[in-house]
Amino acid sequence: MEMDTDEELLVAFIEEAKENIEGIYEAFEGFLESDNKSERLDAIYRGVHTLKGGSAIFKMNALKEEAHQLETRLTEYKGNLDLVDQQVLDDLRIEVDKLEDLLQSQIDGDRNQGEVESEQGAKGASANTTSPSDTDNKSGSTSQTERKPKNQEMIRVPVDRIQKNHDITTEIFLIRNQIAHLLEEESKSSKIRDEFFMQWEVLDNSLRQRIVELENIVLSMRMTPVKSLFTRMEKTVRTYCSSSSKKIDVNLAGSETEMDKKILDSLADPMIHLIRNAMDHGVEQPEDRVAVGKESTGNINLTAYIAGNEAVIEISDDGKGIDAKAILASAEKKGLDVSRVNSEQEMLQLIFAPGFSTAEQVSDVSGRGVGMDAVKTYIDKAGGKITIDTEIGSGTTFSLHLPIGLSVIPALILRVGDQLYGVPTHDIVATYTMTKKDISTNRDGFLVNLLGEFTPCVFLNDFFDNDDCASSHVSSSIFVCVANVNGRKLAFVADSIEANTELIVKPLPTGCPDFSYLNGVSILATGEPAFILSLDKLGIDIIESKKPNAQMEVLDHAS
Amino acid sequence: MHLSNIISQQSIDLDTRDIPKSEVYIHFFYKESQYAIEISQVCEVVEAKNITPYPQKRNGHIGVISLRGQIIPIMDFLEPSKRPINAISKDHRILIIEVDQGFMFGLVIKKAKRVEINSCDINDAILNIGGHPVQLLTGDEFDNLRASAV
Repeated sequence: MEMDTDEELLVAFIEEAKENIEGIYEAFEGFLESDNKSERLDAIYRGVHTLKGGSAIFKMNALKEEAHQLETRLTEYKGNLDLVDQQVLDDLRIEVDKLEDLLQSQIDGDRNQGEVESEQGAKGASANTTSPSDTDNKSGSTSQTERKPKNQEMIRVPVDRIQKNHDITTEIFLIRNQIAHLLEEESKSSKIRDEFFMQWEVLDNSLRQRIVELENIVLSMRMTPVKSLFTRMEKTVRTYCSSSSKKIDVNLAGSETEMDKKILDSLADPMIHLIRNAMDHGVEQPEDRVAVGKESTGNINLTAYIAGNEAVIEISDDGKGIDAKAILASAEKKGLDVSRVNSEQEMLQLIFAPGFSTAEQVSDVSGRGVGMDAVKTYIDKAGGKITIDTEIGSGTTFSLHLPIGLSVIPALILRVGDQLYGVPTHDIVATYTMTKKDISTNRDGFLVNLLGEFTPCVFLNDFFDNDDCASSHVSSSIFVCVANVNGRKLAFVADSIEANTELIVKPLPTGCPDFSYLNGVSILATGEPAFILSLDKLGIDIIESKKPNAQMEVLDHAS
Repeated sequence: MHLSNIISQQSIDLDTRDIPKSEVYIHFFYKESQYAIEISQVCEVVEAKNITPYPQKRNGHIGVISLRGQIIPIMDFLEPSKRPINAISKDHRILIIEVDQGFMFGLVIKKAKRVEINSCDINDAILNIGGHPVQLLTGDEFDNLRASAV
């Protein structure tokens, strides 16, 4: 079983390495004519660095060495782009050709050796450098017959095709919603016979259920447990420990958590970089740990869980933590612009700046500063965000917040002024239809009496800028949604509830301003878009808002 | 080759150079001023639908529309503090622009028209259309908006 997992990891590495090399070649194309030479060189550098890291894990020493040399050479040109001429590019291409050849020889070697190595006790990936001719005669038919059934059970389908399938499914869902809306509107004006409408409704419900099932099946095709990724990370730590004096245990939690495969695949590189940094700079030497009263063996915890519409992956260590002020000083020393850096989190985020590194020495594991830059690039591309929690002496947690993927979610449609907003039902603890009389004021703030408990509340129309936003203040009937914000209950007051439905969440398109509390956008049955609110993040935004208003005081007192 | 032929060839080249190149633009009114943008940057011009505004006002960002299921942000690149779309009339249109791959957005405009302009009628990003000065948009005007977005 162990060998199966290793093989899986090796296959994953090879696929990624091929993509990396393709990306490097693409960056070379039209390099001299391009106006983004620096970004291209960074991309080439990152690709080579990633290749080096991966080959080190699988003990592909020749590949690792070649990548290391190329990386060193590329360093000379960072900041000296004028030195890059056609001759240099040609030379660099030859170096990349060598990397590709070495990778191909590993693939050929691995293909020919097959399970023979596993039967011989898996002597390590370095054995893969044996030439194919040495192993041709060794590879028995047993291994091939063992592999065949696995291949027959699986069909490899390009992710893009599954994505297209999903897009069409969601479009059908939206069209169905619009048809339903049209008929319902018509039925109100009695143009449609009741009998017909009832028959149609039965069929429509059936259609809706089938579309949701289809949507879930299509979605599940792309969902993969994070287990394989975590196992790969575990191996990274094992390999590191075998050549280091540090002792590190890896603790996994939530390995069964499923994520969109496309997003999961894009996480391998950033995760490796984060783990390497945790091993190299986080976890202390055993004697240093003992000296400060810690166990000599350090811990790296990998945790995955679903929180609302996000998958969260945490990489934490119990090492020395990150000194935010040291990060700031190092950034200043390196000439980075720190003029806008004020808070501790902003100081910590400097580690994601291109070229930033606190390591004094360059190592195979980390320390060239390329890793953390790549981490942020990868996470941004996946539509996620990364946060850092650290305490000096206790350790650091990097939390990757990632979208689960497009999906149908149950939601309430709320009216605030003249606009409609979707709120995922999983964000809501309770809902109440109330009258304005149920809201009291205290110290100029608003409180709502929920089963004898006074809960701070905010009028959404006070916070939003939509037209006609004063309505719920004057309307006798109001709709209240209670949500947990930072572990405390907060009631959000809307004018009314318009529908309890299912929505397809689409990501906000490029060009939308950043509203932390918008989860996405959906298209309503009327065909008009409506923003999806995250009540949790909206509550935090209101609390953190500097805009002085009545509710703020109540919230501050409550928290 | 005879000298006469060379002279003749050169004169043909010169003549070709002198023929002004014509380019196709979309000419439109935006906040009472006239603009033009290369047709290659325009995806389509659609009827002005109801725009869903953002919950909170942000300079330069008006809201979103659904274009056959695709969500398109609507922007305001001129004096963004003024919000001109409070009253969209039948005359308004939305110009869908893609300035570079993947960045598609809409502008609320009026009187969109396809025009063909000779290069000699373009002077320092000002086009002469029917004797009126028309500002040529190159795409750079939207860089700040893009930077302020996600």
